[in-house]
Amino acid sequence: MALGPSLIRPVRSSCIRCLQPPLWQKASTQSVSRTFHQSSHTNSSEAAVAEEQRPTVSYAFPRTKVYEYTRPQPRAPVKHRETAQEFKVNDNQAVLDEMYGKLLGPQGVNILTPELRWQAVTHASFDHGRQPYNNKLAFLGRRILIFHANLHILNQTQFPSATAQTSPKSEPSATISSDTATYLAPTPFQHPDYKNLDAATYETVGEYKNGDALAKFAKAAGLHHVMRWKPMNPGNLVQSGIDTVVVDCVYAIIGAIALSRGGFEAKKFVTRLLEQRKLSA
Amino acid sequence: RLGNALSLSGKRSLCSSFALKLHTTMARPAIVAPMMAVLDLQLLGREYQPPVGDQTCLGYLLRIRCPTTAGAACSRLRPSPCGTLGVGPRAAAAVRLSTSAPSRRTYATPAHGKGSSSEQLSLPPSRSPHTSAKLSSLHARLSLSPAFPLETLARCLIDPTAEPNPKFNNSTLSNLGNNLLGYYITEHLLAKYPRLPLDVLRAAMHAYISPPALFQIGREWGVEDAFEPTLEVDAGLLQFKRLKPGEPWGPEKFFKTGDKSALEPPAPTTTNKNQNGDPKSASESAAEQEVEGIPQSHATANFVKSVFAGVYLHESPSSAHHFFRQHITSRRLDVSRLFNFEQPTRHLSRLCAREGFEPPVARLLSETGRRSKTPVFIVGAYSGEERLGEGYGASLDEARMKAAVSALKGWYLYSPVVAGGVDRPSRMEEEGAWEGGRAFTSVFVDVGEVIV
Repeated sequence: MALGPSLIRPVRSSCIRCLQPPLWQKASTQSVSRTFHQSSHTNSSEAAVAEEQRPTVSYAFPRTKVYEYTRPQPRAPVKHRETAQEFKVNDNQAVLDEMYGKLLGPQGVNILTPELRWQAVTHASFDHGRQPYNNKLAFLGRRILIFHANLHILNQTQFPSATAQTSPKSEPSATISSDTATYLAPTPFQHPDYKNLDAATYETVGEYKNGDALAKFAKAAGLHHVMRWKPMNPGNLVQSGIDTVVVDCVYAIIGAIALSRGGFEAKKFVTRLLEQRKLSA
Repeated sequence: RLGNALSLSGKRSLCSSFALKLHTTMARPAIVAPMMAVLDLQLLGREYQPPVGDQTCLGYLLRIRCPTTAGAACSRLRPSPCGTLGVGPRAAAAVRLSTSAPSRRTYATPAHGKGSSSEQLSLPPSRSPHTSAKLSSLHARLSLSPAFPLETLARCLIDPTAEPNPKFNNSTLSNLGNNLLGYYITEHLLAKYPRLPLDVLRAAMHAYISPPALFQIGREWGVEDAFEPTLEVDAGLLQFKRLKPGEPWGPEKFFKTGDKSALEPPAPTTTNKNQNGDPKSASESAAEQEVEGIPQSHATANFVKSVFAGVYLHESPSSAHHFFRQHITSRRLDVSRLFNFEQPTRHLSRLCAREGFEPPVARLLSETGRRSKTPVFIVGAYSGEERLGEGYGASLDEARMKAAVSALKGWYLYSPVVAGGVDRPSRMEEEGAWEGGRAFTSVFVDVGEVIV
């Protein structure tokens, strides 16, 4: 931490960097909009109206350059290292809303507040995490998807693969015996509450975790060009993991809907995803 | 051997070479190595097996219900088959040892009093839930509703390692329970501590619902395990196949052998056809029949997850969440101890920069004993005039680090206070959410951890 003005004796830090001119000298002249303990982020619908008037989201104070304080002149007259290519991402609200319309349906555009709409499609790599990003939303959304996939299989009336795999090679024998005695062979207990429980195995539910179908669904909605991220190699997006990031964004949209509107709304979106998957499979 | 002491115990006078000294010591008899008998049961594969099955009536008499008669409870006495000693090749030695015990057949009353000569078969004890007192008491102890049948609870106790047929084991139930618990705990933690970093969130989830935690819960519920999952064990015991002593499993097995399949759950082997669709040969069947064991902790955890799934299926989603609150979130976890900051001062500095606060500054609040062996410094982390956190330490740097950590924890452990309690997404999926319940109040969504 930097040495700051203090009437009490200052702490002598062992860090030399503290003696440099502070990087945020310019920032401290700006008025501090809020103190530490005020809530800095609200998702209420009243704020949404105010948010909608803003064209883009600017959460942190705007920074035009990476560093405010730069050297007065370059060290060498010629740069002999490739500069990092800047990767352009979408910053247009209309393009974002169009994508949400394709993903959630025409009524679905306003399910999320504009801030959440941006946050759900922003990856942590974008702007080094200075803008609100979606890692925790994706974490919750993935859990919700797996849970609802399980319920989806459970509530299906007919699941063909269930009965075929578990039938023995011959008709079930009437008795089973241990080393000491022979018993009546037990029959599986049936109950209406079980529904399609026997089909909802780890493997069948795990098929819905597969990201390929989700990535295809997202591609159809145009999420690849709308999400905000920073690839490792702008020349090869697939190698940089665009599909993983896109699937994270889909999960994050599920999570954002769940946290802001409740599990029922999220279930509607997830059911739409699962139905699409069934059609494509 | 001392001097000329040849024979057995007794006092001996011993003369040393120094004639002036005369030692009188008790000479112990020469110790001869005893003839050790290697007992058959000490060899590998023949260790002593405690008798499996019901220990209450010692297996003399078995009071069972006829599965064929409907309505009236017809209980008859039937001699148990050959005592309740363990069955299977591994327990053959134990059987041999017990031949000296009085023969139990003499005490058995002839139970075929009705005069029928053919012996009526009954369900094996491990698959007949209504004969088990343990199962009924477990059901009552957990306060499960009458809508939750004993058969489901019995199915929850059967691990896939004990029973490969998925219609009898708890694999599907524990999968559903796992997904249910994961969903509930994630939404609970995100609602309670919205700003937790993802690593800490994962650690907190692990603390609540990982197999070791669920194992503790299962033990608190009083679930006992059967030594070996034979047919004669009580239906109220947890049935699973044990690992051999020292046998690695799961991640440990992966580290030792490099076998990646140890990290995945075991594939179900219920078909009698191999991958190509042809009937399996004898060698393939034999190879697959060697079922791998499971640690006791994971078997108990699977049982606990299955019970949650059973409550969800048989009772209701709101009942399942109530059960979850009673058993999981009622447990105390100090989330503040799960943090591990690498450079707390730098982290705090980046947090303040991102949020637009004044840059953090450390100020010495008070100190004592600077030049002594045990100094104490109290340092505060300030942002402008506001103190973010305080820390004490034996050195200035330590106190400064602690102050930064305290400030960061103050940020990340923010817990919103909402009138009427923080809402949870799963509430809207329960019955009664729309008819009379209140509308969903949105949960605080955090912008993400500071990336230093």
